[in-house]
Order: sequence, then C-alpha cells, then structure tokens
Amino acid sequence: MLKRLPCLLLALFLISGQAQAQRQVVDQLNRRVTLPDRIDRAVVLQHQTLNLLVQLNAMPQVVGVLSSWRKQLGPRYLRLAPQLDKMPMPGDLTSINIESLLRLRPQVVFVANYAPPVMISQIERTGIAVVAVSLRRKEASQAGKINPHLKDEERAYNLGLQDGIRLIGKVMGRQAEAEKLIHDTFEQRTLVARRLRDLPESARQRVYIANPDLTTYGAGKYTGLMIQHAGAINVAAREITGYRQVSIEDVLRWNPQVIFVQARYPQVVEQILHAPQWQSIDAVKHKRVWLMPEYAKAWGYPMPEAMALGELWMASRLYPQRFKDIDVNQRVDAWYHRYYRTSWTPKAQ
Amino acid sequence: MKQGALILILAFCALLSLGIGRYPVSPEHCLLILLEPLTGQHPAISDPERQVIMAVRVPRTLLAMGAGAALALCGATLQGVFRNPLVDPHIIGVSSGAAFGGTLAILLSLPVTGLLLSSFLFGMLTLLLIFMLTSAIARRNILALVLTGVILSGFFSAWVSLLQYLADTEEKLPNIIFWLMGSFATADSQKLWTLLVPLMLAGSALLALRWRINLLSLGEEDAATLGINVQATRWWVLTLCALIVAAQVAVSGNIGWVGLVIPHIARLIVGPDHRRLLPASATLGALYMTGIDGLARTLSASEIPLGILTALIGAPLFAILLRRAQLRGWHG
Repeated sequence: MLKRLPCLLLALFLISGQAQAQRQVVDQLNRRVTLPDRIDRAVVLQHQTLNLLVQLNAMPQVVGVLSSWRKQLGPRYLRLAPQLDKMPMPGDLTSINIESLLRLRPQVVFVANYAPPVMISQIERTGIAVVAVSLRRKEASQAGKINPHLKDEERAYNLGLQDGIRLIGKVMGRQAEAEKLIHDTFEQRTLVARRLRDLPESARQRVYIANPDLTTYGAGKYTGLMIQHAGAINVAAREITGYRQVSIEDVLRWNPQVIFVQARYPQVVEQILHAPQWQSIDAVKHKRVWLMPEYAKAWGYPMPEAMALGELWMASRLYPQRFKDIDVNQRVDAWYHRYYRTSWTPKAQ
Repeated sequence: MKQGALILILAFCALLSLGIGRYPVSPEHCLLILLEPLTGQHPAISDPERQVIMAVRVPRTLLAMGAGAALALCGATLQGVFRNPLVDPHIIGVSSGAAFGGTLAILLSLPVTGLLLSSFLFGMLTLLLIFMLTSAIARRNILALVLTGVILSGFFSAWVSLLQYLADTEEKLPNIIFWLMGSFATADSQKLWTLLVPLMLAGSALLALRWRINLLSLGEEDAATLGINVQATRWWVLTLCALIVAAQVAVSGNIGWVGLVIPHIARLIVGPDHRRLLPASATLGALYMTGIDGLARTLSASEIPLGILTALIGAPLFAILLRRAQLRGWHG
C-alpha cells in the first residue's frame, strides 16, 4: 500500500485538477493501462515501436528513444527520422536510468514485452504509464515467454502486428494512420500470395540466409515466414530453431539455390563469393548471392515494410517471370513517400 | 580513531550521492526532503523531486553501500583465512553459482522474487558442493579448498555460458548480459532487504569472529596451538561469506575487483590486524561503491553497468597498490 502511495497521490492530483481526462488501453502483455486522453510526450524503448511511430507520423509526440536505436535500425535510419539525431536516450531495451526518464516528463513509455518486470514496475511506481508491445498475439500466460510455442505462428504474427499497430495508434491518437498502414501492409501480401498460388512444390527455390560467421535463422521467428511467403524454402529451418551458428558442411549438404544476405552485412556477399569452401554450392556457382534491401527486414519480428515490400522484393527476385508487370522500386518509392515522407533511393544502398 | 573518520567520510559521501543524478534537485530541496519525515511535507517541494530522492536515490545509495561493504568485508576475511592476498570473494565459487541461478531465472522469465530466490539458492547450493567435494578430496588441505572453489567457479561459468548460448538473442540475451554486469538501477525496498538482512546477520557474526580470523591468518599450526578448532572456524567463516556473497549477487549481479582491491587499501590505512581491518574494509567498500554508482548513473543518460566501472577503475588501482606494496614489502 505504502509503495503505491506516490501513484495514488499523483492520481488524486490529476483527478482534482481535472487537467486531463483518463482512458484505459490493454497492452500486448494483457496489462490494463490508464493513460491521459492526449499524449504529447512519449518515450520509446523498443526499436520496432520506434519504426512504427515513424510510419504513423507520430514522431512530434516522442521526447526520448532507446540508446541502441542506431545499432538496431542502422545508421541510415536517420534519413527517415531526422529528429532522432538530437533525441535524449534515457534507457535501452532492458535497462533505464529512471532519473533521466523523469527529467523528460513523459506521459507514457513504450517498452518491449521482454523488458525486465522490475524495470516496468519501477517506471510505473513513478506514476508514468507503461505500454508493452510484443507484436505477437497469444494466450495470456505465454505473453512474456522467450520461445513461445506458437500453435499457429502465422496467425500469431499477423494478428500480433495488427494489434500492435492499433495499440500504438490508439495510444498516440493516430487511429486513422494505423488502419491505413494495416490495410496497405496486408493488401501487398495478398498480391504476392495470388501470384504464387499455382507454384508447384517442386519449383520452390531452396534459400539460405547468410549472416556473418556462419550464423543463420532456422525455424521460428518471422524470418522463416518471410521466406515462406516469398514462395521459397528455408533450408536451415528443418534442422535448427532460432538464430544459430552452423558449420559449412551443413550448408554444403543443404546446397541452397539462393543465398540472401541482410542489408546490414554487405561484406558477407563478397566473403561468400570468394571463399573457396563455398564455391561448390549451387547459389555461388550461379552467382545468386543477393544483398537484401533495407526494407526487407528479416528480423525476429515482422515490420509492415518487410511484410508489404520485403516479401514482394524477395518473391520477384526468385520468380521474376511471375512479377514481370510489377515495378517493385516504384511501389517501394510510393510506400516511402506515404509513410516516411521521403523518397526511396536504391543507389544509397 | 581512523575507523571513526572513515565512517564520517562515508556518511558525508552518502549524503552527497543523494544530491547527484540526472534529475535536477537542488541541495536545499534534497535536505528538506530528507527532513520531511520529521517536519512534514514542505510546500516548495514538487512530487517528482520527492519521488526521485525517496524512491530512487535513497534505496539505491543504501544498496550500493551494502553491496560494497559486503564484497570488501568478505574479501578481507577470505584473504586472511586463505593467507593469500590474491583471494577475492569469487574464489569460493559462490558468486558463479549465484550468477547461474539468476541467469536461469531470467531465461525462465521468473518474476523479481523468483530471480532473487533462485540466485541466492544456487549460491548456497555451491557452498554445499564445496563441503561435499573437499571432504571427498582432501579434508584438511586449504589448497584443496581453493581448488574446489576454482573448479565449481569454472563449472558454473560454463553453465552460464551455455544458458547465454541457448537464450534468445534478441530478447533474453541482452537481459542476461546486463544483469550479469551488475547494476543498482532497479533498487527498491525488496532488494534492499534481500541484501541487508544476510549482510547484517552474517556480517556481525564475521566481526565477532575477527579475533579468530587473526589467529587463522597466522597459519594452521599456530592457530591450533592457541586452542582454536581450525577446521570448524574455517567452515564457519566460509559459510558466512557465502551467505553474504550470494545475497549480493542476487540483488546487484556479479561485481568484480571490489573484494580484491579494497582490503588492500584498508590494510594500507589501518594495518593487517583483522580486528581493525574488517570494519575498515567494509566502510571503505561502501564508500568505493557509492562513488562507482555515482559515476554509473551520471556519466551518461543511460545506465553504465557496474562491473565495467569497477574493473576499469579497480585494475589500475590494484597495479598502483602492488607497486607501493613492493616498495614497502608485503606485510600479509
């Protein structure tokens, strides 16, 4: 009771002042959170949420971000959100400097679903609302777990992203933008699915995602779904789960037809093309080692641009004859104008 | 006399550390808030200021002082009992065991209480393993005791690495790494009690034993001649230290170098007599950690993990001390 006293006092103060009306939302850890009616000062401690806030054009309401945004989103992200350059950084995904946070006088703090419980309760004790974002929908008991056994991964990610975008939109008062973003994301996906509907199982390309030091993504996580949606097969998914290091013998045995490398590791493409032990692999022999563009974010969590544009890009590279009439770059450019208020410049890649 | 001066300096620095932080609170306001339990609420003080001092800085400073005192006290005691100036609290393996317990709790997404309990219990389990292993290997050999500590320490470190390898790289790994490097950022009353109760109980027991620790530090034969049950005393001291170290790791993660360096500084000030060395080490440890934590929360807008700072400052400090000790000769 005593611990709650500061919160109660603050609540009393707010009620008596009647400065702002209150409302409640349920976040993605199924916590009921009370918020002021209008949010003008938000702090974001999760890079996925930060990227969504940029696309919802809510950055004017953000007063602080996580300290590792550059590492997580890449230094080029500054182009999409120039405000980030001077933004205070009171904490990170798993830690917070509570005094730096209080100094920013935020009304709400967005955290990742895996932020330590003690960090969430510490922020809440000071009377600031905390909204946790997981971008996955699942049963209540599983919400904070590491490797949730998602019965239906696809569903969990699709609905989770929609829930997440709606939640963030509602908190920041950007409902209309949120609905538009959700609509556009899934519309592009339908297009890819339609074009690949009659693709026979035997014609599907075998794909390997190469990270530095022979690490790759196996089953689970969004990366696998991304490859699946683009009509391909992740060769590593049958044997490993999550982000793991494999041996070159595994890769030789899998003999992928295409190797994808994420935009943040351009040096890996050169390494693979020139390393002698890779030369007998089908993808290397046919020079099908491709660097993915920045919007094809093969992360553990799906992002709207990865679902809408990344999957389309991947599918059109793998099966060009099925996407002959579609100008991917033009669609990407349209998306960037609509959601990042800037143009997509493939040359900068 | 010197001890009294040390305590006064500590009290002063603790007050000072309540006045610093990223949230601006003027020194007058800070004092007014601290006096509020006596004077009642002062109208000039804002709610956030009160919160920053009472709910953030007070528990945090107390926790830092407690952890520093715990590590330095155990370090000084164990250096005496093992008659080895290179010993620090990690040598008995308890901190690795506790670190494993905490890592496991994070991996399993246990709540805060579960994390505190798990690391404390695994610390105690390590002590039990030390008992069993030493009685199986060599009952009376002090070197065997040290080696058992090294073995268990290595064993549990490997388990911690395995858990880190298994942990989800995006979600759990950063959590584990940050916890292992140590922080007082989330200090609250629960953590404070988890540390202070074992520290007060086991710490005063150690202080009560300090005369016997003096005799043990003379060597086994001499101590036995003077009528001390060497084995029993040694195990008592070890158990008490294990209790303190396990509690410290549970609340603030693995913090290196404090338990090694601080006893050496204390020895320079008050000499090698454990009757004075133990309280002086504890006070100096508290002082050192208060300073380190002050840096951890003010140097950058985010938190800097303690383990990094204690090693960055402790390692060069130890080199300087070694140089001085060499000039003067070792009096251990």
